[in-house]
Amino acid sequence: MTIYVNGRELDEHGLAGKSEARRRAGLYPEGFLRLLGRSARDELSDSHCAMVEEVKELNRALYESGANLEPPPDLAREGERKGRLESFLRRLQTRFIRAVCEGYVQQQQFFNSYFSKGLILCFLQVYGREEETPLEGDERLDSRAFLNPPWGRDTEEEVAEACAGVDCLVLGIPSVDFLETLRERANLVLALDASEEAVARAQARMLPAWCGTRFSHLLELSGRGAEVCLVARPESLGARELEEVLGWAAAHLPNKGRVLVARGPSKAYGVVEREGAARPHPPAFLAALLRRHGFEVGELRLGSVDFLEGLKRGGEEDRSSPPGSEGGEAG
Amino acid sequence: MVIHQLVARLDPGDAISNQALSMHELFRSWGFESRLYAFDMDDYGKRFAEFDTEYRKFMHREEDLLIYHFGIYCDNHRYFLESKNRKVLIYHNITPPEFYETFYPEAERLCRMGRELMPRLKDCDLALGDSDYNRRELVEAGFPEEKTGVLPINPPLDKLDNVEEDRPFLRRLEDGKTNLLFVGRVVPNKRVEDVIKLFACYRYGVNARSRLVIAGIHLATYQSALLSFTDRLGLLDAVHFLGKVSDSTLKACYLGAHYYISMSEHEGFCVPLLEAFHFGVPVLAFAAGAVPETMGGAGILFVEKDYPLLAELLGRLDRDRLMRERIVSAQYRRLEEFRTQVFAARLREVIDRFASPGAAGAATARDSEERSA
Repeated sequence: MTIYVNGRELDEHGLAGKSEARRRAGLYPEGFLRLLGRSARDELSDSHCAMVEEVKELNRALYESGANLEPPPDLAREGERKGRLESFLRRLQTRFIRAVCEGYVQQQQFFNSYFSKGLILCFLQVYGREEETPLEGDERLDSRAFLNPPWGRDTEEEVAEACAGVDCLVLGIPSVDFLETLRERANLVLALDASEEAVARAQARMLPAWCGTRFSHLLELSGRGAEVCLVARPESLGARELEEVLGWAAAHLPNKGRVLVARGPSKAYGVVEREGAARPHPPAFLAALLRRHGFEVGELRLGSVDFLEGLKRGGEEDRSSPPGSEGGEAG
Repeated sequence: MVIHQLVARLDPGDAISNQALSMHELFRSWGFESRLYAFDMDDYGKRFAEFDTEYRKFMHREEDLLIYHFGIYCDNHRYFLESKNRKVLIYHNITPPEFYETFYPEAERLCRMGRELMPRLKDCDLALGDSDYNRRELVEAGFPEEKTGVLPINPPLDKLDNVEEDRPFLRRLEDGKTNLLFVGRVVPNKRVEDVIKLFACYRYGVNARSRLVIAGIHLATYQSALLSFTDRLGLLDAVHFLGKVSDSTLKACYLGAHYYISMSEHEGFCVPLLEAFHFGVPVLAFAAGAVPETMGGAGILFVEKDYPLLAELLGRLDRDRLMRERIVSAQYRRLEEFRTQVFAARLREVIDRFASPGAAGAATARDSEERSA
């Protein structure tokens, strides 16, 4: 590859070496690199499919309410007449483009709302919050630091030892030193955290760490598996996200694979009362979530921190007990 | 001599409109009678221009000069073909239609028709491209080489200088994160998805404390695809699509940006590169179309999109202040060649080929007569 800086060719060997080192360290997993080959047109077909479904729904609703909007309702998947569907899709495409781009079709608002939803979400991040309110990642970092002090060296050593020799995912970064220890003793596949600060510190040491708030999505994106999934900071995840992460673990960990979940305080005391502040999940809730996803739940103390250990069973899953239905402590 | 300018559309923020308006002001300041016509315009455009049907009454005047800004197919090209005025075509380039395929069939059709129309416009006194890249396309389309030339864009930098930046927005950008910026229409030839890919590598591999800001009017189908792709990459909370922004927000974008990224695969000139130069933002651009010519040996150009490598280069720029300063200095030097005075001198040369001595003065005298009457 040729790069020119102020018209002069740059010797990019150093850059190429570093980029390769990051790839080897796991910062650019294969699943992620594959996505870089995807084009906007590939996405468009997906969006169009979603749009077509929505338009069908709209059409059906209008038909049922007595409005006879073309095309007639013979467009359901079963027994559809191909020629009509294609002609409908052509009309739809034209109408859609006019509706969104030129704005003169009655259904414009409906079409627009679908596509502008995402835009609004993004825009709100920039404009919608009050002055001086930190962004989500930093909020979580603050509240987490308050709720859950950093692990001691003894805990870091013992956790690293418990993961020794296996592929390990870390959700919530206790400290960059811990990640380094883990890289030496185990195979650190990926560490995720909502805090950009924590991840940037890890990246500076070539540790495979990604930042984001939707961990389950990032795990899918990385396309990596592991034998141990260490949820070091469960309080940095909402209940729904935690459920999704454990669902991912249940689907992707091998039999006898383990999930280690650090237990927070048993009561939600001292939580900063402001929007975005994280609250610790009660241990009983964490245990019930693990069981719900088919893990055998046990307790473990590593250094000065208590953990719930979920062992993936090979057989059937017990989904009968909803989270939170069991009182008291796990185990 | 009356100077008529004909454009397809006149609205704020558009490069062709800005160019036409800037020329309109210069013509008037030189004492010419200058008129501006558009097929379509918004309220802003109506302050300066008339609808193109108004031009009809001047078509037979051989002493007048008609300047046609050509950037897309528009029915008003017929006035250009039929006019008895002396004629200058300014070619701003037409996006190859295949970029719009599946995204916007109507634009695809207009671009295709525009490109097909080009050879029919060659019967003019002078054809100018706003870059040599554009001029070469004119020659390829059959324009006689000796009747072609280059008149670069006059970027509207004063307009941005004179407006106050959007301070709340700038404060939000100045929160310690590294800001990557793209400005321009969010359309397929700009390859905004490639900007997002580079950002993904930078954020996931090099610097998590970063964001990407995308400012510009969007094509809805393309935008929806970009949103979907951004979501797939898990970056919805780090990529900010601002849509069309005011000058004040645009200025804040440039002031808060650390890097300007262009992955565009077709450009006839690319004004945002010069705006980034003006605000001291290092530019990293893919060498396509007229981009290398506009950059003129300043900033960073690359000929292949190796995203992890480019992310590494951004990381190096983060650390290497000297390299950054050298780039910004070179960009400032390059910008000198696009100052209004330089543009005005070049435009004057063009006009002097057509204006008889005293033509401007006559208009001034007529203007003062009209004023006194």
